[in-house]
Amino acid sequence: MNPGNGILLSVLASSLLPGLVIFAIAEHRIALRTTLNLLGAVVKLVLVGWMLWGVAHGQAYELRLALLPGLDFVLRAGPLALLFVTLSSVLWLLTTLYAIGYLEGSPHRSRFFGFFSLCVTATVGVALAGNLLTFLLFYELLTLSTYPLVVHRATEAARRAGQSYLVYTLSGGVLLLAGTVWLYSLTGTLEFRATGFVQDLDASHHGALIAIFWLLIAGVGVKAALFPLHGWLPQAMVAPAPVSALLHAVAVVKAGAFGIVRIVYEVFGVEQAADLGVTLPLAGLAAFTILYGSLRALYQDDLKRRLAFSTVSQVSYIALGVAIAGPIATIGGLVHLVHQGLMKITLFFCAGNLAETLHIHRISEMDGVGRRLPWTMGAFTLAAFGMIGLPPVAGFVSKWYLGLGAMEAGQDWVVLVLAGSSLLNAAYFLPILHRAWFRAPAGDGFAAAGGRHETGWLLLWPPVITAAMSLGAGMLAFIPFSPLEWVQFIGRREFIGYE
Amino acid sequence: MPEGVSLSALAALPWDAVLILLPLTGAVAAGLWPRSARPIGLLVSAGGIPILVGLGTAVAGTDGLHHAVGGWGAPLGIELRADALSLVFLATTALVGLGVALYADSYFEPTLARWFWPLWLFLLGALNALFLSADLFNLYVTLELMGLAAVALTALGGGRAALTGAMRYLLATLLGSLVYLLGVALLYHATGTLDFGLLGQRLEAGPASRTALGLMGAGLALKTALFPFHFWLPPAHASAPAPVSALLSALVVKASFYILVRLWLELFAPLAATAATGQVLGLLGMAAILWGSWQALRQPRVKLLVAYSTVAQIGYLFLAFPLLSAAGLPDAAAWRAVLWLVLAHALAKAAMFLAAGNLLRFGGHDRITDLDCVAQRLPLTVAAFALAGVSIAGLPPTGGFIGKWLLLEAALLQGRWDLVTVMLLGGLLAAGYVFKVVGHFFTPAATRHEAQRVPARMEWTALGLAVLALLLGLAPGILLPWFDSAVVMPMAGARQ
Amino acid sequence: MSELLQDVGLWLILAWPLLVALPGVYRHLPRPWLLALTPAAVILVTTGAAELDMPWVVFGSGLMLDGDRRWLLGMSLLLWLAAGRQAARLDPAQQQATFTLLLLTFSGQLGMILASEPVGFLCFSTLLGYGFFGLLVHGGGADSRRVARLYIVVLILADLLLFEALLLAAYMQETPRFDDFDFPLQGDSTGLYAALVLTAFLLKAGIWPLHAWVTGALRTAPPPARLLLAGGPVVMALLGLWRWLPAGQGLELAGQLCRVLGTAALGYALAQLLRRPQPCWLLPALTGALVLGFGQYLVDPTGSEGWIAWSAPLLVLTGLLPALLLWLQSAVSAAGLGNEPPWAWFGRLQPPLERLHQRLLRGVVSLRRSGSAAAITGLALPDLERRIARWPWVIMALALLGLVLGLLA
Repeated sequence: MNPGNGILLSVLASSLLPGLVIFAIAEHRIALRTTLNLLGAVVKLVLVGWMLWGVAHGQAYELRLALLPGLDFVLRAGPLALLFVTLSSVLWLLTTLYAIGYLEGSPHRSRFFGFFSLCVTATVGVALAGNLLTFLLFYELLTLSTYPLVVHRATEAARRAGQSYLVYTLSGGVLLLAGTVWLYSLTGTLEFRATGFVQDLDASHHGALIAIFWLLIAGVGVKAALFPLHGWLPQAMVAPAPVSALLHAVAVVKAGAFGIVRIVYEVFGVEQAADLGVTLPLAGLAAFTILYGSLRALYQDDLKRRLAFSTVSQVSYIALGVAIAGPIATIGGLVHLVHQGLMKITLFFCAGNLAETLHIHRISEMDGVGRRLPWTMGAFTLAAFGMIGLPPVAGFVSKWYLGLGAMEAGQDWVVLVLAGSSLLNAAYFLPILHRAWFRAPAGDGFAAAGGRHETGWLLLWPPVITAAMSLGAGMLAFIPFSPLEWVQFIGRREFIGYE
Repeated sequence: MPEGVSLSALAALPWDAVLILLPLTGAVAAGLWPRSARPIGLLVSAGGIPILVGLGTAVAGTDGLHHAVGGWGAPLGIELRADALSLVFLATTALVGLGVALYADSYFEPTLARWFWPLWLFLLGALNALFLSADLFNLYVTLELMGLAAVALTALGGGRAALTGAMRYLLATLLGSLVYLLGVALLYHATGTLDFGLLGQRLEAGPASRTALGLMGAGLALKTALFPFHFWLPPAHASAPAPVSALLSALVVKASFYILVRLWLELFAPLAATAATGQVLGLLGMAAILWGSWQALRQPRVKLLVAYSTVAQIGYLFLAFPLLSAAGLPDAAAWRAVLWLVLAHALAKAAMFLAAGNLLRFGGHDRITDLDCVAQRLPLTVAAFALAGVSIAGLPPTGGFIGKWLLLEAALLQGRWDLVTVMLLGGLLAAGYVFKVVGHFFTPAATRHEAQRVPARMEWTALGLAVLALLLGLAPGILLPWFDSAVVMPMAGARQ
Repeated sequence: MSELLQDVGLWLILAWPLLVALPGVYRHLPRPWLLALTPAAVILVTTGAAELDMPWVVFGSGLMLDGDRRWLLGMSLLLWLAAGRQAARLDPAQQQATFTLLLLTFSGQLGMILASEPVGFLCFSTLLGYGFFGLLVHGGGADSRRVARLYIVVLILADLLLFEALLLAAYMQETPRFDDFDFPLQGDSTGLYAALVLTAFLLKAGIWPLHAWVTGALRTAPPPARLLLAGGPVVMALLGLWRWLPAGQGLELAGQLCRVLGTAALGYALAQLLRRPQPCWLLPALTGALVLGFGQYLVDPTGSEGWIAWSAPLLVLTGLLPALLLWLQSAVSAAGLGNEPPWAWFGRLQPPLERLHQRLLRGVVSLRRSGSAAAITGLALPDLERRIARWPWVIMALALLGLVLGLLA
């Protein structure tokens, strides 16, 4: 028995058990439910902190249970897994707080928080998965546990959005399953390894390997919203704001992006993937998605839809960084996994505040809103600047490493794509900021705030905190345990070629 | 050595005979004393599990337990045989039977319960007898008994639709048995025996055996509702009372499939000439998956949808027939997967039908688009339906996923891309029809409906079965060796 | 002890204005405006050079105070004090936001002055740039907003070019961190680097023929913004040229270009000044002269050593002279505005660009699954937003084209 077993199971259980219990809690027992939720979130955070410390000091955590003959259920907490786990746990705590404030007084909260916890469990499972089968299990579980959150509003539009979400993600799941079984029938193992596990196959299997690569990428690409598999994401915007925040910043899209990292680096190994000639088309696809998502975002008047297309564009940075297949670009892509999460969740929190406090859903209604909600819009501004890549917000650091890595790998065209994307980001974010800060409110202006704060404190603090974190992640990029430092640690530990 | 003594004493008990006689006696008693029918029915349904455990301990470690009733062995007398393969089916029956019995106890009003209990116990006895029979003629007799009990149960609900469905079912089942009997007669003529063991030694490839296989295969396919013989299944399963639908879909169609598996593994597969038949059955299976799923997707009512889903799921069971190992023998990995699917499907489908029964009871109808916010009002039922549906669609982490994974792996190792594609497509379609229903659970209907109370036990039993289907997905490490031996032993017996 | 005090002080003069900029803090302080500028004034009068290394901030930024920087610091203090006086005369409803923006730009300005390496410089230029955009828009009329729009396009584009230039420099020196401004430039991308930096800073400095936003802002912007324009964005852009283009590294071609552009700008501005003696032409003239001098320095570093030592006082002069004129002539006469505005050529460029834009839009439409061109272009966005969303578009296309050509070459 490895000492890591207990802690790995506890990390999963700290959200799974509260989730299951919450299903059974009566709707009106708010205090009990809130306590359970927060207890789970805090316990998870403490456990994750423990593991971070351990892994940084060379400890390894692994849990292995026999599932099928020759195929185990494996959880492993390496530096890469912990990057995603930490992001999910931190943002889970904040989103839970936010959701408590956001859903105050709305029906079916037990159901909501139950599935919310399941969703986080699945995300953490995706991160910790030690082989492709375990990854697949949690990946599908994530699909299933997010569906009730998407249809939570119980309207016809929500039902349709849920339907489209399932059509996309389950089809993706089928492709992932096909690729996984096929790969297993060739290699007889699915264990993630730092250099991949397909190098022993001889050249006659290259055709099959290329097909498998695209099957797997298409499978995870649905969640990562790679063009043309991104259609579900803007539609899923009918969900309540905490769900959109979670979907777009942490759980779903990042699970897809994380899958791409795993597949390129730990299933195929970056060198084999480059030999197979699949990384360049993937980089091209990601680059196209970046520009396409930004272009579409330019023409959305609905705030959440604009943010959704922005996500389509930004998540592909991660895929791009991985597909460039150079160590520095990969650092950029991986660190963007965290940075984009922090910035995008801020933006969605703010959009939720606008909707919940002032019933504003469209950008054209946002004139002068900065004066009524200064802190909210301040956080929004900071995050938007980060998205554009202005220093010293976190987005700058990601773009910096991506650009540098692309030059180092001799892929100069990527720099142009980044430049184009920055321009487009500025073009769709700055008008929003201009409206909010510098235009006079239409009509009589907004109703004054009821209490001491501009809105409920549970709604106000999470975006302010995440905005501060995204500023901190950029400004203090070199302090120990900053996302960048941790990603460089990953680079030293798990990937070849970075020192 | 007290342990050894007690074990051998346990093994010596005639568990198999008890397993048949207890339900039959119960059926008679329940028929004679309607007032005590309920305790008798529940007791006998629950008693199946300890008896099965006893039988399991007796069978464990041996390559099958033979028991000659009345001391007369083959070829003259009636011989019972229990091995791992029959245990798989017996366990499925006991588990699902218990769940359905608990459900039916709350479901039926006293006037109907009076008829239900004897019929159900009769069906249970017939099923157990079928899974324990060791010769072709006994199989025929039990098949016929089971068919009659099933038809009677189908008609239990009364009403025009139920009677029409039952009538069609009766005709189909009689025709199927008849064709099967013809095949049996042919084999008897050719070999002079009906005992499996002796048949295995005497049967040779030739026109007689080929015709017999064709006839028996066709008859059993009709009774299993393999495409295109599925025409009778949706009306019968959709119009029967919910517990009966669950029994029919989960158990009754599996019984004829069991016979087919036995025939295939022990008698016909070793004859090299039957490969083409396997391919045909595989093709029909693929067609069933696609056609059944497609039809399910188009159904406006929950129970019809679930019934068509059964048509599709039966297709999966036939995908192992075309898969042969390098030596030309049945592929053990594929058969292991199929047996796994039998168990997973039985649990999930029973849960689904029971949940559908709850919905029907609740709203007085089962039109999918008019399901009115049931997610808030029947959360357990909705959870049961969704969990079972996830297993049916083969999504992790459920029993259905494990079965599908094993079958996919077997098909891929043999390069059967057609099977792989159809399986994946079928999974997608299944997810489609399951979530088509689940989506409407959340939304309010255009018109409000009068809602009726659903007893808590009905909700819990549906959920219990669904959770079992889910847990099955976590237990392959424990259960798979058993399934392995269930496949390997009959084949080994056939080779001797 | 005094070293520690210096370090804390360096930090404080940047962070303290940011803190005071929060409306909540500002409202509760007595005489907040003077209080916000106090740390900078204190640091200015203390003696000695100070240096602060912050290895964990962004890419190892550091702050530094030496003689040259002290000159610029003093200039900034003077300018912002004056701007504060101007702002105090504004409509009370606008005052709070103006003060906040003034303090943001102040922090940005000081950060750019004190930064000891390019990444830090770039970080603070964001603060100054976007804050200044706010000053142009906030409380300004329609003309001022139009100028602001031009300015923000210039700003985005220039920042992007600087980012790319910095990437190139990091690539050439093979480490993402910069220790100071004297980083070595080697390899065949030096030319590209120089071109990017030159374009960016000349855009930001408003050199002829891209001076439209500078002269426009000097005529139409709200008083505080007008005062700060020369000493803020323009002088900082020139400072950027000084800092980012180290002489003696084979940048003669860039120097030649600077000389040509500087001469042309000087000539043009002087001609305009003769035609219409308005203070708004003084700044382009000064900028032109400085760029000319800088070009000379790049071409012949050793020969210009004598006067390059005076660069800081010269920059200070450039910043203060126009502000002084404006201060004396408390308001610009409205008569000058009746003439054709200097950005008229920009307007004449509009129709062909509009057509190009339409064509690009149609390209996007074909990417869409559904929906027609009318559904997108007919989006009911007010005029201003539509144009803001549109301009970067066109310019992006051109800039990308330029970058492609640059990289291919």
